[in-house]
Amino acid sequence: MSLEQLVGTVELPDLRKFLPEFILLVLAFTLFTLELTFKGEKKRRLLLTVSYAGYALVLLSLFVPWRHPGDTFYASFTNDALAVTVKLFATLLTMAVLAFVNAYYRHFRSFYGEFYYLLAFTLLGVFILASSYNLVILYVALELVSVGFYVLTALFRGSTASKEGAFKYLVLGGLSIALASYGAAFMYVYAGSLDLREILSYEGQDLHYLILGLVFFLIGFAVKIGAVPFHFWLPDAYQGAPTPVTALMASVGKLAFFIPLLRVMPLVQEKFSVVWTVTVGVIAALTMLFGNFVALVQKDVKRMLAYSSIAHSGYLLAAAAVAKELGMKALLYFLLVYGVMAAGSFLVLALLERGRGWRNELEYFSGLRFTLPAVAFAFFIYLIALLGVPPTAGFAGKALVFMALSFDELWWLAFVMILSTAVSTGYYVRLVVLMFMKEPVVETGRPVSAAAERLSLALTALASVLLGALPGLIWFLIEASVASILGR
Amino acid sequence: MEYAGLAVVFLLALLIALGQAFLNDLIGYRKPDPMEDYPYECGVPLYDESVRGRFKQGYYLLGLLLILFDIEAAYLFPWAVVFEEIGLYGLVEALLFVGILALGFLYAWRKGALDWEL
Repeated sequence: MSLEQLVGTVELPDLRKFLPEFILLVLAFTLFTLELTFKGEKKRRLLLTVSYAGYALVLLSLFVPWRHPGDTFYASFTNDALAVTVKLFATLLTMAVLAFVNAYYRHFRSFYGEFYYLLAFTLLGVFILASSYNLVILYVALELVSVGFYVLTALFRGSTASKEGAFKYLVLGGLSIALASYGAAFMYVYAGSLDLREILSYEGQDLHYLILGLVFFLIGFAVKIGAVPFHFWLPDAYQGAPTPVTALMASVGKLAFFIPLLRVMPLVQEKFSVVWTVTVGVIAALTMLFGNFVALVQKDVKRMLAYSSIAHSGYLLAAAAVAKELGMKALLYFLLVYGVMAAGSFLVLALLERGRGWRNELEYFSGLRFTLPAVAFAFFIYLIALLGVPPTAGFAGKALVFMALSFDELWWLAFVMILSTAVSTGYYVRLVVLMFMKEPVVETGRPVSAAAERLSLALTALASVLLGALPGLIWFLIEASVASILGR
Repeated sequence: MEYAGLAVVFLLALLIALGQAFLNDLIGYRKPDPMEDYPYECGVPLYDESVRGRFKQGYYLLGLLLILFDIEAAYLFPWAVVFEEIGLYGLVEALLFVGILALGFLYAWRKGALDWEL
């Protein structure tokens, strides 16, 4: 077979559609080279500066694909409004987390130059995952994100908890990848195509293959987002990982792993909307109840927030159960604002952990108002946002999910959601009461925060409130995103 | 639906089995044994203390370097066989492939993975 036959009509890739990915790839390799070339304190500052410059460039370059939607690389790479929105938030959240990285790793004497380019490669995986319908590309991107997270979780000198968490994540993540690729194989058998759009609109005889394939494929993603009963790795990995990495996994990671699910949603409408609703709904209900009830009995705040992350996967899945326009909008909105709130809440812990003698246990948070008023206030905002108190983004997100459920008359799921939110009041409010109404009981050192860290916390706290009070700020992005995936 | 009875029997069997296992856990008689967690060596006391030890990191390093060099060669063989037919396109692709692996080699070199010591 000659080359011409092999590639058929050669189509040159359109750089305007993957400019951010290209910049990110160059950034990653630049960081790799710098990491090998320089040494010592100079290296730390250089890697951080170059990372920031690179991510800023990526942010700027996002305007180019926004103006030029469409497919490239033989339709295996899809650039649309959804992809650009996700990339925008993923990059912003990564930059927010990056502010905490150097001081955190310095405090724990665990500096690895590898962190910076692993972060860039992980973000590249997130970008690709956000903009593809092709099963093989999705698979490769999923691997890229996951392998990045495994290594970032384990890169914590002298911490066995981090190794344990990373190992659990690796084993269950490997299982999930295996299931996803198994499902992809079944879907290929059904439609003879690797493109999800073609597979789900194909009128084939053996629907069994499609259902089997889709179930396996989605179970693969369910492991990654920590849906019950596939959540076992999540609390240990979140607790063991260095806290900035946890913030990244809870925000950027969750964002990335939900996007393929969101892309499938408009395509399941005709064929099996009932099966979809029941399956996803039951998993969502289990996840909400389990996450909130188990979070209630946690003594360790980082672990509690990890279980709260599981519970939020449940709320997001509840929105996903409504495979209609409103459900998609609710899912995307909640996903974006949850990323902000979750990143903020874990970043507060990343700051507090630098205090001498600090441990993430409940009694250490007692009277935080007196020792660190600004940090306590920021944490308060994230907590009420996670709980869903009215002016915050969490409320708007939950209200949207509830609206989507009620329009679809899924009352049982709406009831479970209200019930589990009520349960979640227990642990969020307990923490707020401890911070603001009790005296300090444990003497700890006060961490010194840098200006970038204060800015990062202030911006995420502000966004947690503003995006809820004025959803119009990002609503045009959500409208455009949902329109772009519905238009297929 | 004629096999529904089988499903019921299966569910009942599962329920009884799991229920008994759970009950055992709940109300079972517990007597911890001091030797419970002892490494098993054919029922005799531990001869070789080194079985408690860990593997040396060097072995993992060796495994990773094997992937770097050996797998590279394995993939270059089929490329060499069809090289005449795919020409320049194939050369560029192979150079990219080798280039990416060379970065891995560079990394291993700079980080001292090639200084063999056990």
